[in-house]
Parts: sequence; C-alpha cells; structure tokens
Amino acid sequence: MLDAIFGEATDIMGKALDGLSVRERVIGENIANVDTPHYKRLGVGFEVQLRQAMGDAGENTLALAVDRPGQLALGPMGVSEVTPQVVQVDGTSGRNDGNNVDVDAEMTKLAETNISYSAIASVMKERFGMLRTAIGNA
Amino acid sequence: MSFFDALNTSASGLTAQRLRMDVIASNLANADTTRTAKGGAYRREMVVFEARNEGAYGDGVPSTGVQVAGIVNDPSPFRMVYDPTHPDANAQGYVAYPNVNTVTEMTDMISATRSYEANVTVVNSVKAMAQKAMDI
Repeated sequence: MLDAIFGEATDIMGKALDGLSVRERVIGENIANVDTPHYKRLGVGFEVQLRQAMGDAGENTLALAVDRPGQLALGPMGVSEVTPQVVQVDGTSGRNDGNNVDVDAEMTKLAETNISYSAIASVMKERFGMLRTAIGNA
Repeated sequence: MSFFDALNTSASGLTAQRLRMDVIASNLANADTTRTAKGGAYRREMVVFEARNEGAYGDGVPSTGVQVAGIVNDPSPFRMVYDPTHPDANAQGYVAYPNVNTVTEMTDMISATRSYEANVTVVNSVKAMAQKAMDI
C-alpha cells in the first residue's frame, strides 16, 4: 500500500543517501588519520550494487548460470538489501610513513559526495512535495 | 547515528592536530632553554598518532578517528655551543642547547595547520549534509 504511494524510486534514493553518508563519514576518517603512520585509507562502494538492484546490470555482473533443473536462479538483490561496503585500500604509498591518504583526492570526493547528497535530497523533497499536492494537503 | 559519528571522527582529528600544535609551540618556546626539571637542556617533544579503533563498521575495517598514542622525546644529540661565560657551560666551555630545529618546527606547524583545516572542511561538509537531510 505504502509502496504504491511512495514508489521504488524513494527506496532507491534513500539507499543512495545512506551510501553517500557512509562515504562522507569514511572520508572524515581518512582525513582525521592523514598524519597517522601506517594508516591505510578506506573506501566505500554501493553504486554497482544499487545499479544491479535497479535492473541495470551493466558490465559488472556475474549471473549464476541455470543449466539443470533444480538449480536456483539467483537474480540480482533487491533494493532493500543494498548495503554500503567499506573496504581498506592497501595501495602503494608515496610517503615514508606508509600512510596512503591523499588529501586532495579526499577533498575532491568530499565535495562530490556533498553535491550528490544535496541533489538527491532536493529531488526527494520535490517528490514528497508532489505527493503532498496530490493528497490535497499542499 | 552516522552524521554524529562523522562529526566525532573529525573532532578527534581536530583534537589531535591541536595537541600537536601545542607540542610544537612548547618546542619553539623552549628552543633555547638550558635548564629543565629533569636536569640538562630541554629535549624536543614529538606526538605519535594512532588510528582509534572502535570497530564500528563491524567488518574488521579499522575505524573512528585518530588519537595521540603518546608524546615522546627526540633522542637526537643536543646542539653544543661554545660559550665559556654561560653558567651552564661544561668543563670545555660548551653549553648544551636543546635539539630543537626552528625550521623543522615551522614546517611541522604548517602541516598541523593544514591538517586541522582539512578536518574543519569535513565538519562543515557533514553539517551541510545533515541540514540538507533535515530539509527533506
């Protein structure tokens, strides 16, 4: 019932906001540890999962083949199952202290995350506004 | 709540960088101190940062900010200056001055300032995001 009102787009946007807020936090983590020896930066991924859940498989999917009766066809996960993945990036470091945080890269990601977040939040607000109008409570 | 966690993380960075700045100030203020409570000249101090691990992501990824593991003394030798009239001169007429290099301290100071600013930028960004979320 409620799904019929809000639609899947609201779920998808909610998941995107979730993922972006986790990314924002992880960027803060990296920046806080910019001078910590041997610290390895963290990264967050959720876009590929979300895209797959939306049915846009792209090139990054490995579907399970079903070639015998009785095998389960494992489709893409539902939007509600999408969870942001936090990973440690052990890449090489140009610094003597073994830390691989690049402040410029983190700052760029920070701006990007912030802008994406506001964009999605604005769209969500508009959407709820439209619903409110439709309900007649504008 | 994710936003407040993010603020906490950045706050830990601010605290750590500020302490580093305090230590740098102490080093610069004592760049010529030849007497200390421990005896001898002042020894340069350094802060040691470590990642604060509270395991908040739950998947083994270290997390949640930075903390100062300790303040350690720089073991490098003192600067010996020939000044026989100085009350702290040794038998050969040399005075042991602190192993503080003003240029090193200045570059450290700039580094601490920039890192502090980076953390402030993150705080502002998190605040903007939280406001935007409140706006929905």
